[in-house]
Amino acid sequence: MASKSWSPTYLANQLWAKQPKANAELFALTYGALVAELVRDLETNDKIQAELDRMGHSMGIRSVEEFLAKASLEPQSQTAVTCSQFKDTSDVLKMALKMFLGITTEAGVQEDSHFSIQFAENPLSLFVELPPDRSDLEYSQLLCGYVRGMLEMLQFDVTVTMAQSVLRGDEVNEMRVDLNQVLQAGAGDDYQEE
Amino acid sequence: MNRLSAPTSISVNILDRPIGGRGSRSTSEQTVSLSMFSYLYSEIVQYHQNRVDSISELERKLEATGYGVGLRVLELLTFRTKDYTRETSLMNMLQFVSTTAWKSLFGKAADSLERSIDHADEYMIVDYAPITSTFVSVPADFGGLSVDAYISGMIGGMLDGAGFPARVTAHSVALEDVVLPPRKEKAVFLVKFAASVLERDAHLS
Amino acid sequence: MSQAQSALLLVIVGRNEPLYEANLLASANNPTAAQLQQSETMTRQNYFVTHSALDLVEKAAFTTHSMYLRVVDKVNQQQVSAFLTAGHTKFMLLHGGHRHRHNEDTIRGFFQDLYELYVKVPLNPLRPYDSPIRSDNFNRRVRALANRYFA
Repeated sequence: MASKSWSPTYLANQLWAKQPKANAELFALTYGALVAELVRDLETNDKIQAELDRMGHSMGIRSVEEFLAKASLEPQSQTAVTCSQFKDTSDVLKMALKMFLGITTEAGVQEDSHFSIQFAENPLSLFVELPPDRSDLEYSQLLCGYVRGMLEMLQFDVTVTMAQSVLRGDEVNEMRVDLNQVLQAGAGDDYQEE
Repeated sequence: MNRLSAPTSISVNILDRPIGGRGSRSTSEQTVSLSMFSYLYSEIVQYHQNRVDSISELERKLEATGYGVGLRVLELLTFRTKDYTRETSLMNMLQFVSTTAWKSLFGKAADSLERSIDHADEYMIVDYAPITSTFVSVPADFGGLSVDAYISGMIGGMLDGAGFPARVTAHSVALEDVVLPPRKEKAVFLVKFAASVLERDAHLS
Repeated sequence: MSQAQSALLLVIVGRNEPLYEANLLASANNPTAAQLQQSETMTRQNYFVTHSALDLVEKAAFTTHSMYLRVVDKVNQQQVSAFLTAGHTKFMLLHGGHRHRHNEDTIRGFFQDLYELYVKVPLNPLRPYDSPIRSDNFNRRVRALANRYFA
């Protein structure tokens, strides 16, 4: 086995290659139809984003279960999948975002209590252009909830924000993850420990 | 310093992004995981579920969501063929939906396209494993829900957009011989065309 | 409408309403105020002519596979060419007069490039389907296209 075979990038690609796929345009248009409905139903950006964040959170919980189950089947995972420390979770996110969304991410800032991940392509927003009256809408808020949900399952209570967004004119998408607190392992959490 | 910068396919303005059917940058080649689609679709179903009073109302909501997607997909997929033609006959349009569009959206053609024996204005598109019901579990208290209503909406949107208005409904039909797990059912999308469509089609052919 | 004036007018009509209108001659040069006023009057008449041809497009919709319907109407020296997309959006181009007697292939090319531009517009989920196009970027690009084909 190659010496780098256990790297997060390698494992991410392995996991992604084995995932059954769906058409990204169907995904983007489906998500777009959802956001358009939320815009009609909920009107204010705060409420729309709160709903997207809630949905993303729930998807993140389901995804991390699938990730842990599938990653544990990979021979390299013993060394690659560790997430007992907050700083290790950025590698887990890198793998999970590849495995579920097919996107390649890069580490941005990396500090003790926060880190950021950057990515160029955002499958949620393939066809989106923010209209002038919604220029402040965080269209991809679902991703923030998604990451929050995943990290919650790994016992980290975090706040996730889109620090940069291509839709708003930035050169890259960047999610910033701030650690609020480490959750007590096993404290009434049905999901933890496979 | 940014180590990644967005490729030219990504831009604030949609007019600057390529969407053609050729080249590695085309969005038609991109994929996400099936799980991610399924998780998203489950959330959409649950969102509507909390805002409706009945199963049929929930199905109408999913259809309406799919309808808008169908209208958009019709134009995009037709454009990609780059031959600048439209479907004008009913049979060709149904073929477009069940083959061209199905392949693009779901990775394979529909399993069959059938004409109703009893009703001349009815056609059936059959799929043994539609993406919306095969991998998405129906909420327990919504047992009779046809979760494929999203796809019927898409079919309806494509047909209506092209000038073939029809009522499209999704039905689950039990399979007698279960060949492929995990489903014991197939989805039948029943397409009932407006009378004007049939008249026009008979007149043209 | 006794005399045939130069005209080059584009109207994009959705299923229910006009989505975009542009007097493409206005982009070709920098007209004076007087010319602008004259063209205002002319333009209103021309819009009327163009919209009148919509019924003819509907009639042709199912008799040919081609999106490009060529000339669908003639009024005096002016012609209305049309292009009907898969989703039945209509591109209507009124052209004519001594400076704008364009051949079919030029107009076909213009329509096809316009279609490539247009097809991205309704894909945006945050834009209601079949709603007026107010994008400056779209407007700029349409005029650039017109310059390329008709200047």
